Amino acid sequence: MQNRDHTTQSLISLYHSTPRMILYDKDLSIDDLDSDVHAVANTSSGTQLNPMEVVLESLINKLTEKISEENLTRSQDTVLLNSRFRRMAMERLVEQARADNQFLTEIHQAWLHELEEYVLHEMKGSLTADELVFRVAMRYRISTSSAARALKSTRRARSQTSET
Amino acid sequence: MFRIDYRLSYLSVWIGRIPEYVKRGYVANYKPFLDPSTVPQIVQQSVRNVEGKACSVTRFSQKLDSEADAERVTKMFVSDPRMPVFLRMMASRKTNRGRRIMEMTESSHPVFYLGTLNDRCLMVGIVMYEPYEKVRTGSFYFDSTYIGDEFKQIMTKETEKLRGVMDGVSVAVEDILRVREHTGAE
Repeated sequence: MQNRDHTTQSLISLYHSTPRMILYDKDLSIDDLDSDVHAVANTSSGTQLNPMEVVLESLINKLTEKISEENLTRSQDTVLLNSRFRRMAMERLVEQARADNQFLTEIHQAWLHELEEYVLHEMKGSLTADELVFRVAMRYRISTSSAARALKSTRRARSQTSET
Repeated sequence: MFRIDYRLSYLSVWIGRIPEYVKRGYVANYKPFLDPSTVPQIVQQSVRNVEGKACSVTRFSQKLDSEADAERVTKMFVSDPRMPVFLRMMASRKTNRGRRIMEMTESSHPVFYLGTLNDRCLMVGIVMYEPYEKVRTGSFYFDSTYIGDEFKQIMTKETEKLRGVMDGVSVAVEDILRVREHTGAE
């Protein structure tokens, strides 16, 4: 339980630092990421959580940046994204999800909570919905459709949490 | 006559150093521009479809917290040899230094994309928020009309996918704000 909390916190803390320069290597493709996300989501209770694919898409991308920083650039400012680092990120998440059945549920809730906090912070200025979705997509390393889906899901997730 | 030839030849040297897309003015504009995360993949896909080669993409964005930070970023930008000459010249102008750049980034949250294939700069993209119009615009410049056309086609498909996606976002955001206001008041 303590270990899970620690892992969840360390994953969420990845969103607190943002590299200014991201280098996308030649061997990245959207199709690969889709299959990676499904691989993690299918490991345990992931398929019942909505929008778990979005949370995983975001986590894999942020974790890939962290792995790049640890293994290559040694700098929070610049990261290189390639398929090798992304594979490593996915494997870490799969491992965690297999070892702990409740991990995906926990990280799903923590991620949505972090998203809500970010929305509250950004909405202090008068942003349009379009711009908010753009900023969410930027910060959480997800596509715009995923960002919109995540924002729309916060309401449902909140009502599910209050029911349980 | 000699002078004109000399001037023309001098000018051609400069024009020759400016990437092809500036001469052709080939640009794809989007307003509003919504999707920052899939641009690298779309550029890579376009280049792969047209030239059968894989390219790298760099995305640059940074909130600048101080004038010194802005100066440091400008220097980094100007000294990058892959950066097109005209952009380096624009960035190194005195009026575009320090505080001005800091203010600009605060209000427009710009995102800069650079597509490269070895030493070739094949795409430059600038995405900026227009605070007065409250809309984000994206402009993408290419050194090849074929790659530009391919990019446009893929972007059109991606934009189609977004149709209807934004419905309900405003309501969800209002809901988040309302719940926080309610819980905060308790």
